[in-house]
Amino acid sequence: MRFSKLFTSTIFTLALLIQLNAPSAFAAPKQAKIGESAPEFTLTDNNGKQHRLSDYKGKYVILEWFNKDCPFVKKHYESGNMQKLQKEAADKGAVWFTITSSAEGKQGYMTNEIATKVLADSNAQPTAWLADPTGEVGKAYDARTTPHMYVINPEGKLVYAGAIDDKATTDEDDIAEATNYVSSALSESMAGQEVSTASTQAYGCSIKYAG
Amino acid sequence: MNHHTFNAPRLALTKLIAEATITSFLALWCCITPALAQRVDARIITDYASVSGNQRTRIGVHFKIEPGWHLYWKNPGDSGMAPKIKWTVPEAVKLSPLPWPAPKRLPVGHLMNFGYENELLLGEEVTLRPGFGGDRATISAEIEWLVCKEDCLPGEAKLSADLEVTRNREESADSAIFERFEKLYPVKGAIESATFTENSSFLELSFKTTDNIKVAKDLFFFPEVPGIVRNAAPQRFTAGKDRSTLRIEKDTNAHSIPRTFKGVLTFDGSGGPEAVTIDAHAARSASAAASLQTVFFAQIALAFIAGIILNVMPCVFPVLSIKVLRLIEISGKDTQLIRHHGIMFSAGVVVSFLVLALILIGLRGLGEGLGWGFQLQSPLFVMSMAMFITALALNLLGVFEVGASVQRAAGKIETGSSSAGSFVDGVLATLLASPCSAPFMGGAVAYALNASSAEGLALFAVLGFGMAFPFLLLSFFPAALRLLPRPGEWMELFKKFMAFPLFATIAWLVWVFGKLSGDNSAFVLLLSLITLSVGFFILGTIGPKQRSAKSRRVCGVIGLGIVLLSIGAAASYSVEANEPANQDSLWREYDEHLVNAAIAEERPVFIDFTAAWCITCQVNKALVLSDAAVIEAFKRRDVLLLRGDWTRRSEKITAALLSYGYKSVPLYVLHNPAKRVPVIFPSVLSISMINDALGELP
Repeated sequence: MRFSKLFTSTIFTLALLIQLNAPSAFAAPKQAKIGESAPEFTLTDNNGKQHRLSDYKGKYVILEWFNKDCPFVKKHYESGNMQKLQKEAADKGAVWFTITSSAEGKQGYMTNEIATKVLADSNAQPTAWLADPTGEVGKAYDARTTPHMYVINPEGKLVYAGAIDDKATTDEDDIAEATNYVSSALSESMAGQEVSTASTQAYGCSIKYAG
Repeated sequence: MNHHTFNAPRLALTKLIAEATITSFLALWCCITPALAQRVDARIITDYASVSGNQRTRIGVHFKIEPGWHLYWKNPGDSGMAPKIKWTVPEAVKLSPLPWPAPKRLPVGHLMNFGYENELLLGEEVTLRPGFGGDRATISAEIEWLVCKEDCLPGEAKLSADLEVTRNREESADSAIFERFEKLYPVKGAIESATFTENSSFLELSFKTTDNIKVAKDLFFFPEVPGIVRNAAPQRFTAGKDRSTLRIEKDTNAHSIPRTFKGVLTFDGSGGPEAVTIDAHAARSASAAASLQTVFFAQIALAFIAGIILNVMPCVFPVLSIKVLRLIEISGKDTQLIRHHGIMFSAGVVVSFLVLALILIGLRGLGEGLGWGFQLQSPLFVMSMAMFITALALNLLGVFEVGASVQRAAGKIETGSSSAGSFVDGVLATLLASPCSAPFMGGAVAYALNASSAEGLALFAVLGFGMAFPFLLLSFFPAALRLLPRPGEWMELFKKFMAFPLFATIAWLVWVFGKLSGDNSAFVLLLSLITLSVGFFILGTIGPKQRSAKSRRVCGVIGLGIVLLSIGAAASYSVEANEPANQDSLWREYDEHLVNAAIAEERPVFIDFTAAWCITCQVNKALVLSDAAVIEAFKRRDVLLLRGDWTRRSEKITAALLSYGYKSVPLYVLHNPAKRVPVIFPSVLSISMINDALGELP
């Protein structure tokens, strides 16, 4: 009995000595990082078609996190700012995915039918709207707000992540004076330059993830 | 075209602004103008109804927030928007802003917001400049805000207040609100000589330890600037004698940190909740006492000690002591040669550790959910080690001798023509050390793996050097060997005795194997180890005693056959994996859904992340978690007990560990419904720690 106690406490002391002072192993989950490969995904659009990110290698891809009921999203759609940006991207040959990570039953969740109607009503022109109700893709990109914007270059590397512009408000009047980060990231990257502002704090409503 | 979805709330908003404006017109004489808004009621208030040349008056916007909804701090966290107020004042009226009250953490799923519930006051101090004429000062505010629960509603209002310019001071009914908020302002200057250091993944704040900081709990630092830290990550606080540190995980795409990193530190102090401002300067000199560098050097020192301790582990000690015996045999000879052996052996150990580190770093790059001890998650590896160590133990007992060619090589070493043998011995020692080292080094090695690759490699190299150090020391000072008895028969006995620590190692490996592959497989492994021993006995003991060459050959073939068969049988069983049964009915298997469900119904949850090969985990389990009083306390408070078993690699458990910011076991977590952030226990538990934490449950 005494021996076993001695044995246990010896082991205990050794464990203590070695582990006590060790800083705990915090680790950032593997997430979308500027300059690194953008996380792969396959999501289904409102017409039932599957889109895989890697199928669009060779093209610029823009990801936009969307929630139709979020005031910050409305700011950019009611003013026509987002549609303008979508058209600009399309003219430059870029692919645009509008992604909704709202879980079923939470704000902003859309069935395919509703999504079709919302897109038509707002005159939105993305390449496709993609449903991510499990939030898996949103979390892989560390998407936190609507809108949250990402630009991926033809090599599949993430070149921009963050806000749509530098005016974090819900006021449409601010758009005119705002610097659009997505537009400038796209132009700079296409011109073969380094993106000058590659990461910003996204602003908007929190994404209504499952759980 | 139907714009219904987008337009309806906008109309409501316009109406709201109109109403607010009309209300403020109607209330011309009154200094209080309520704004109508959903979820938030904003009023403009003052502490005195008047202002005069040498007396200050405070003015502010008081937001009353509907329960469950919140407004944001100046850094809103992962989403949201801070309220904005644009003040308009007559000429010669001066405003100076009052501080923002200390924010609270508002978790949203896996993300984090910083803000306020119930009420918020954002104010200014009003003073008159000498040139001010008039008997009345009208101050107006254009206010914009975003109020959120799950959903968000923007609001705006235009409010104004009139202040009489007179020396007659009459306190307003709202002055109590200002007094109330004054207590919530972060205290300036309470934290001294704050500095920060950073590496690629962490930021560490360091500041002077005060009596209050020493007893502080639940510390959290809110940075003023967004986009630098991972807002939802737990922050690790260490109170030192002179300086304390707070380690904060950086955002994946962290922005560059301003030279002065400012923010608010909140904690539960001796007198309840407290908030202080921190202006941390980038630490450049060695004066940053507990900087990351210091942590790194502490780790280096610790790794060295850990390496030395490895020498007395039951799986390493026999090999090393036999190595020392050889040294004794040649100690009379060339000291130069002895040194050479010492150096080669050390090189073998260090190189093997570096190879191990590179494998780990490489696998980590591939995104494998690995922590140290990963080898022991492979049944095949555990089986191989058990077989190998059995063979080694039998060899020490003299059941068989190693083959002639190998002996020749060993002979060469002793005659000094080859030092490769010592290098190989180093590699062998490292390989043997690995099952023993894993359980003890979880924390230190996890640090190495999370640091930069260069730091990681350096740590592993030091670990190896520590392990080789005692032998290296002996080889440089062979005089010390004279303290040992003269070479003689005792050496043979000692060698045989050294088989027993190896048997202890085997016992442990078989137990781990049972956890991995099930009890039946463990039994089969034991049988295989016995037949393996029989095989070696025939091969090494019976065979050489035969007179005729033919019988010797027959014995050799039969012995070798049995050895190979044993290995084959064990290998085939090691691949079969049976789910290890959770014998403890009190504990349920970890499942994220169970955790979420329990949190939803405000039931406390305790999670034990463990692995069979983690000795610290087993010690904690035996001494603390299985303690009758602890179990009774858990039962009394209806704590849901979950166990996450990481004995085998599991994506689910790896992900769960990561979600708490950890990458290794042990990890003990208590979800207290009264607290927003889960309580994380130190890796070495004590009964009082559990009792204290349970005592804080509502």
